[in-house]
Amino acid sequence: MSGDRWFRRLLRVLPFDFRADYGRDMEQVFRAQRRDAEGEGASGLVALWLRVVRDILAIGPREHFAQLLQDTRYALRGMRRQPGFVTVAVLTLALGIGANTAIFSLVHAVLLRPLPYHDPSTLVSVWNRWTGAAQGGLSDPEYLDYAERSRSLVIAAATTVSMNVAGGAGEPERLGGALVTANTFDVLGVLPALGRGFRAMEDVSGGPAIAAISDGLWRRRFGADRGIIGRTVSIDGTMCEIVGVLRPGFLLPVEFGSEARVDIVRPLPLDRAAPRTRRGGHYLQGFARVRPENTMLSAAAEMDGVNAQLLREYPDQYKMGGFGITVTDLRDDLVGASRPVLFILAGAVTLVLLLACANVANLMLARGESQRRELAVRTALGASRFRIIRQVLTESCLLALLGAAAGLAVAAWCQQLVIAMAPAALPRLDDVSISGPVLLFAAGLGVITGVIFGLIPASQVSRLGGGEHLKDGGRAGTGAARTRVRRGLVVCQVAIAMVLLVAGGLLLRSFARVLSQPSGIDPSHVLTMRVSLPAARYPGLAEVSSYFTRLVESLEALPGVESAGAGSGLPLAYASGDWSFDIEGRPLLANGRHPGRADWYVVAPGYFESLGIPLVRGRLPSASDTESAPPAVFINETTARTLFPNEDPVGRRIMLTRTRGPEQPWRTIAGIVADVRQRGLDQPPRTEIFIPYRQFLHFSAGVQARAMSIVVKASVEPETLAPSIRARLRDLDPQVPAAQIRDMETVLAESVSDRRLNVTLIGAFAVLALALAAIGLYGVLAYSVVQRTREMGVRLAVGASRASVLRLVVGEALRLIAVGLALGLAASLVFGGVLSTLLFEVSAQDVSTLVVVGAVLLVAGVVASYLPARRAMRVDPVVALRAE
Amino acid sequence: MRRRDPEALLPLTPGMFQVLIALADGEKHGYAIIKEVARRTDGAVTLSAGTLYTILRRFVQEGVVAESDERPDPALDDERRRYYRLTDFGRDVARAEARRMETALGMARAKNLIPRARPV
Repeated sequence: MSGDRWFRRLLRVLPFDFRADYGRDMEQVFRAQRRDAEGEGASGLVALWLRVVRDILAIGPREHFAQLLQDTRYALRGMRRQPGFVTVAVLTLALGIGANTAIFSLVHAVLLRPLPYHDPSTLVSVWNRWTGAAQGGLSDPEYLDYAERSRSLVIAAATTVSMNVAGGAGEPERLGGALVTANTFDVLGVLPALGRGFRAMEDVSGGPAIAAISDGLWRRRFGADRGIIGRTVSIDGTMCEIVGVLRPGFLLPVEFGSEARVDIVRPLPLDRAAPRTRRGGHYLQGFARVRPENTMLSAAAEMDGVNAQLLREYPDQYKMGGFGITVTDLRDDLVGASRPVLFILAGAVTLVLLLACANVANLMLARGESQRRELAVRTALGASRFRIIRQVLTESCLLALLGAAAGLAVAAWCQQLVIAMAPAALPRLDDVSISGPVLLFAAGLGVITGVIFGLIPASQVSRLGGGEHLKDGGRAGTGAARTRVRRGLVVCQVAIAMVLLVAGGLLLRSFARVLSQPSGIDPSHVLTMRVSLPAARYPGLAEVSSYFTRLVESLEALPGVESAGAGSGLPLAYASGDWSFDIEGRPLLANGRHPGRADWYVVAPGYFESLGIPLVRGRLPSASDTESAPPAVFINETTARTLFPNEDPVGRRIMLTRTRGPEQPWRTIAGIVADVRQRGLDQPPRTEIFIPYRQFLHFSAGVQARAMSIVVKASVEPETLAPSIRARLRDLDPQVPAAQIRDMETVLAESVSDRRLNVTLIGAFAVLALALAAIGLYGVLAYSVVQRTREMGVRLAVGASRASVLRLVVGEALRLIAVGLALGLAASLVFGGVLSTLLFEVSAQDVSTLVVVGAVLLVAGVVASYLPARRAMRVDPVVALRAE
Repeated sequence: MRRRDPEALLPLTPGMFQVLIALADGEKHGYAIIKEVARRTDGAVTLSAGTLYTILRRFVQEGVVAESDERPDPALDDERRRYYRLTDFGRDVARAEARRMETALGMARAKNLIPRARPV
C-alpha cells in the first residue's frame, strides 16, 4: 500500500481542483498499471514510476498555469465591469506600495548594496579613540607605525582637502580632492579605469607631482580625452602629471557621509624619516584589508597589542586618556549611521501600506456584497470553496500588481524628493534608482499585499452557502460577520493613523525646537564662500596673511558691502578640531594633561562683525593684531565660563601646545565673544579660541591656515554681489577661485536638512494615513447607513427626530474612533522610544502632541461621517419601509 | 440552441484523437481507454494517467465527452470506476478531425509523397 501513499503525495503537485475531480480516478489507473508492471519485474515497476513522475511533474505546472490564466481572465472581466472600484483600489495601493518601494530603494542603495570595492567583506576601518572622542583620526606617525607593525592588516589612509585646478576647459575652479597613501587603490581593489594608481614610495614628502582625476572631471573639463594620461595640469599652483582616471562612480571611504565629491586624488606626502615623537594632528581616516589568513577579530586583537606597545614607547603623547585603536567593519562604519533613520522610515511606510490594505479590503468586502448572487450561483454549480478563494486572491493580487506598477511612478517621485533634500545622513544617494532589485521588490510586495488584503474578503465570500443566498436579499449571518470585520479594519486604520500622526507631530515639534535654538549669528544678508590658497605659491604666513588682508580690504570697498571678514571655520558648516593649551599660573592636571582644550579657529578682522556675533567683553580682532604686535587670542563665553569660572579671563595668558612646529608664544586673552552653535543648532556650544590670522602659528611646521571662509555682510541682496566678488578674486590671483558661494540662510537651512527630510517624509505619510483612515471610516459609515435604512425609516416613522438619527450615525463614528484612538495611544506609548534618537528636547510621550493628534482624528472622523449622516437624516420613512 | 462548430476545436493532438476513437464504440473508464489506445497504436501513442485526465477534463468542459456512471469493471476488480461516453457533438468533432487528416493525406498523395491507397 505504500506505493499508493507515495502516488497520492505526488498528486499534490496538481492543482486542488484537478485532484478533487480526478485524483481518485488517477489512483485507480495507477493501481491497475502497477499490477501490469509487477508482471514485468522490478524493471517494469521502475519504468512505471519514472513515467508517472515525469508525467505529473510535467502536467502539474501546466495545469496550475492554465487555472491561473483562467482566474486572471475572470478577474479582468470583473474589473472591467467596475472601473470606479478598480481606479480607487489601484490608486490607494499605488500610494502604499509606491512609498514602500521608494524607501526600499533607499535602503538598497545605502545599506544593502555591497561597497563599491573588491571583496568588501574583508575591508575594515581603522580609527583611534580616546576619552571624549569615539572616533579620532590618525596622525602621520601613527599611520606609519600601524602600517609597519601590523601583520594582519594592509592599512591605507586618506584625508580630504580642496584643490584649485586650472587647465582644460573653463575657468580655474576649486574642487574636492583627497590625499591618499600610495597603496589606497590596491587596498580597495579598484584600480583606475585609465592609466595607473600610485606606486609604492610615491607618497613621500617631496615626491613626484602626480594626480589621478575622477571620471566626471575627465569628461567635464578634459573632454574625455584619452590623451590626458601623461599631461600636466596646474593643481594648487603646481604642475602635476595626470597618471590615472578613476572609474565612474568610484568613491573613496572618506566621501561617504559627505556631500562633497573628490575629483582629484594625490599621494599623501609622508615624511617617513622624521622622528615620530610628536604624535598629535589626528586628521587621517584609516582603512585596511584584512589579510586572507586573518579575521577582523584577530586583527583588532593585534592592533590592541600594537597600541599597548606604542603607549609604552610614547607615554607623554597620550595623556588624553583611554587611547586605543578601533577596527570595525568598513560598511558598518560608513553607512551604519543611516540605519536608524532608514528603519524608522521603513516602519512608517509599512504602516501606511497596512492602512491602504485595510481600505482596499473594505472596498472588496463591500463589493463582495454585490457579488453574492453570482457567487451563490457558482457555488451551486459546483465551484469549490477553495476555487472561489483562489479567484478572489487572484483578483486581489492583480489589483495589487497594477497598484505596484502605478506605484513605481510614486516611488520615482519620492526618490527625487529625497535626493533634492540631499541629507548628509544618507550616503550613496547618487546611485538611487528604480533598479532590478527594486522592481523585484515592488512586484513581490504587490503579490504579498494582494494576498494580505485579499484573504479577508476571500474568507468572507467563500462562506456563502448555496440555497439561502439564491432567494431574497439574504441579510442573515454573513452580513453581520462582514460588518464586524469592516469595523475592525477601520479601528485598526484609526490606530495606525494615530501612531503616524503622533510620530509626525513629535518630529515637527522637535524640528521647531531645533530651529528656535539661537544660532548665535545673524544670517540675514550675509554671503559666504570658501577660498583655499595653493601651498606652492603661498608657502608661508607672510604670503597667506598678505593675500587675505588684500582680499578683505578689496571686498569691503565693494558697493553694497557693509563689512567683510574671514575665518578658518564657518558656523554650521566648517568646524575645527581641538587644541590643548596651558593657562598661565595653572599647573598641569593630575594625569599630566594640559589644563585647557578648545576648538581653534583663525580669524581676520571683520569676521565677528559680519556674522553678527556680539562682543561680550574686551575687544574684537582688529588690524592692529599684526605679526609684530603682542600675541593675542580671543575666546567664547563657554571657554570663559568653563576655564575661568570665578575670574575675568581678559588679560590672562594661555600658551598653545606644539607637536613638530615652532615654539608657541604666550597669548593674552583680548576679548570674549558670544557663543555660536558651530556644529549644529542641536549641538551645544563648545569651548572655542580664535587666533588672529597674522599671528597664527600651526602646531605642525609648514602648515598655514590656507583655507578660509570669507563672510560678507551686504546691504543689498547677497547673491547680487557674487559676480563682483568673483571678479575681485580673479584680480588678486586668477588661479584662486571661490567655492561654495552661498548665503548664510542657505547654510543654516542645509545644516538641518536631515531633520527636514524626516519631518517631510513622516509628515507626508501621516497626512496620507489620516486621509486613508478617514476614507475607510466614511466607507464603513456609508455602508452602515444603507444597511440600516429600514431601521432608520422605522425610527422616524414612530416619531424619532432627525437629530436623533444624526446622533446615531455620528455616535457610531465616534465609537469606532475612540477604540482606534485607545489602541493607537497604547501603540504610540509602547513604540515611541524608537523615535527618541531623532527627537530634540521633546519626549516621545509628549502629552500635548498626543492630545492634539487625538483631537485631529476626532474632527476628521466627524467630517468623514458628515455625508453619511446627512443621508441618514434624509431617509424617507415611507420609501424605506416600502423598499423591503 | 445554436449548434456549436466542431471545427472550432481542431486540430486535435494525436492523444486527443485517440481518446475519441477509443470512445467511439462505447463508453469506457480511464484505464480501459489507456489500454485500448496502446493496443490499437502498437504502443506508438502511450497515454499516461495525467495526460488522459487532462484531455478528459477539457473534453468534458467543451461538451465533447460526458461522464457516464460509476460501476465496477468485472474484468479488473470490484472498484467502482467512472465511465466516459462520447456525446453527439464529440462524434462530430471526431469526424471533423478525421476529415481534416484525410484531406491532408490526399494532398500528400497528390504530390507523390506517399503511395496512393490500393483498393482492398
